[in-house]
Amino acid sequence: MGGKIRIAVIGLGRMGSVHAENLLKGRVRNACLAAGVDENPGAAKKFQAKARGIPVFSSYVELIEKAEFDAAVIAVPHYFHLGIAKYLLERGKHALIEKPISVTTEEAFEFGEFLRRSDIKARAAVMYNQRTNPVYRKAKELIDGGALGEIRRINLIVASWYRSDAYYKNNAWRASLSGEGGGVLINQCVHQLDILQWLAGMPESIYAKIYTKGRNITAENEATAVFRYGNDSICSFSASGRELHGTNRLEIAGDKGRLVMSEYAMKRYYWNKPEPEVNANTAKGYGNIKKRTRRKFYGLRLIPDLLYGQQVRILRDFADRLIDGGRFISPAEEGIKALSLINGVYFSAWTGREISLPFDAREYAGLLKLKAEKEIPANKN
Amino acid sequence: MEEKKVRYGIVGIGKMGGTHAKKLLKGLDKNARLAAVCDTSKDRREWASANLKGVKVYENYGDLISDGGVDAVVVATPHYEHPVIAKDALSEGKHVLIEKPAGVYIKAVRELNELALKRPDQVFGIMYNQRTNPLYLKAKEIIDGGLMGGIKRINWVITNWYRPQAYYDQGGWRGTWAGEGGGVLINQCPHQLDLFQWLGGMPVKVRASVKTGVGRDIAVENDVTIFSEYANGATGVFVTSTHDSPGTNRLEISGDGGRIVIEQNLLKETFVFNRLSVLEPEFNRNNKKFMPIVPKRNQRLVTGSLKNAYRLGIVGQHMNIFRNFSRAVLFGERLIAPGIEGINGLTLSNAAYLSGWTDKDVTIPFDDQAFIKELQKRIDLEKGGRKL
Repeated sequence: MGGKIRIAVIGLGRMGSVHAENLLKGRVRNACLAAGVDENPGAAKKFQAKARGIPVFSSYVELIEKAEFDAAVIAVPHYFHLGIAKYLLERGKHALIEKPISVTTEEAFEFGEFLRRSDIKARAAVMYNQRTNPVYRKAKELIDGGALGEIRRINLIVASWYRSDAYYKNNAWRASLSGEGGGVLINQCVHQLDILQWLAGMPESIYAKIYTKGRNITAENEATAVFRYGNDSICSFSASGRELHGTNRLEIAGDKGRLVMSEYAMKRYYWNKPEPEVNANTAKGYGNIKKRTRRKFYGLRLIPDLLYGQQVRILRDFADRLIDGGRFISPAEEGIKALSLINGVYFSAWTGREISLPFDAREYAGLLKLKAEKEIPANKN
Repeated sequence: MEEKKVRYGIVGIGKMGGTHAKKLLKGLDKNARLAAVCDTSKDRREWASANLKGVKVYENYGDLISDGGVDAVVVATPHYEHPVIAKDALSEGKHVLIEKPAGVYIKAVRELNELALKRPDQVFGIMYNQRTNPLYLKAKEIIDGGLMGGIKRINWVITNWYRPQAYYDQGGWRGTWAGEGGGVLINQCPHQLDLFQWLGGMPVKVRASVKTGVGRDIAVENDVTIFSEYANGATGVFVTSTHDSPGTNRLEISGDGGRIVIEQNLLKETFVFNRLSVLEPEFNRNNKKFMPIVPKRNQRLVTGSLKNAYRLGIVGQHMNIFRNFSRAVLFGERLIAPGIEGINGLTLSNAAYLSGWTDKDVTIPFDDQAFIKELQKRIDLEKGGRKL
């Protein structure tokens, strides 16, 4: 494929317009903005004012019919992601899908099958932009390199996505089961949950509680969960969308040390011997062991993130890998993992049961549908 | 001026009781005098005779608590005996200071509290020395002073109680159901469970994962995760273990007024209060912006090295409790840790066990007998046994 990858942006809302701008301003080396799509004339007009000379369409069907392009970023409400993605992929267009990849694991699983079809040649990725954060990249490198030994305990607090009532009033679909299939987990925490499974793998079971507090919404804005892994490893997870000064902290402890990550920095506590070896050989009742600490800030490396957003890095990776055929940072096939965690949390909270993974995706989808139908929409305005 | 001092008698001079005895004898509390000690172990009594000059040594606690030369009885025996001895000592008219936990199961501690309430002239305290840690005191001050507004979430990860197999292999009552009634919840965590409720309030519902013998050959739990729910809608998570290393000790309390984080490492302790200039519910009501800029005002109030820890009294907290207790006896000073509050932390730990054992939510208050029955089942599997 010669030249630049011509990318259309479908959905010109909050995120879509950011992607369009990044493409327009030439921040993505090997890509250019090919077109915009939005059914809302206001959004389309806004796009045209900025992207002079670039066509804008009111539907993705029209885009396919009229525009010349290679790939599209799909930034519409979650329920529509995969319908559009399939439509594009079947017609040979590559797709970069906003997170979450879908609302239900049932649909995401079917999509995985779809991608394996021999007639589907186009490729798909998902916008898990936090995988480009230098902190998490370093953690991935350390963990995959065996620096932590066997993972034993994880504590994850994600309370940094503050959302006021003004945010929810802005779009009726936000934080409702019928509009986006959930609240703070499916919309915001999906990033951290992807990072969690990227670094530590998938759990065997989930027990969770979810709550709606202090906001005029129907889906959750708080959650507490326990993820259990094999070999007695356990993760506590707390999420909240109503805390100012909210924490964003991921701690992963293994038998050789511990990593503590915030958005911009990581601390590593470790020693040379694995804990089981210390335990087997020490005669001391309190087993005091000398530990070492390393602290690292990612100030300079995070500046590009702060300026343009990590989404630029995913767009670059998307374009570059389409050109060289390499593996995406976040292939669409992996989109189902964080979604499984989120669906699993809801499934457990709704049924009061501990949910084993993989769970019955169809049963979950049925339950969600039932709940969404019964949902009495909150008075948004 | 001898008569103005509180004359202490210590029941149980093992690790904790022995340390208290030496400190009192050193005169670290000017209002206290060590009058007598008692231990069922011959070795410990010989140690006392050799090391505690001028102090009476008893074998049976009955003799110590009926000694007219003792004003206040310190109970530092294995946990099951705490409420039993404390009740007897109160009945003898003594002031009583018990080690934590107040007991192993709520029923016994409730009976103790009922007796204590009938005897308001006798001072009844509990050794929750970490309440005197200036970092937690500061948090208490902020919360009680209303700066936090309503609490939304409390999270404590306390996994730095590292105990290798060698610790459990010391034998005796350690790490057994019959001997001490549990593992990390009953032995290591009573302080944090007390502070968890002291700062965050008592939950109305608890759910817990209680795992026994993780990486250790023991029958008691050494890995616990508790979810708590509160009447005002707040939620909590409490994570503890004795097999993580290097472990964490981090408490975070998030409320309408901001967030408090207290983090302790061996060499450093930090307290941070991220205070909001406007309470969050009010901010939410008035905010019109889609993604607002947050009104932050960070306050790093205390930060200390180990040296500071000594200066601030983070180390040496036990004597803070003694000094406070003595002044309560002599001058009616208010107790930092009233004995009747010992039931709160114990309720949390009993509820966590019951939830973990039955794999169900436990609503507080819950059925005492259900807990006792479950505990008895575990005791019966051990050698020696005990009838509750």
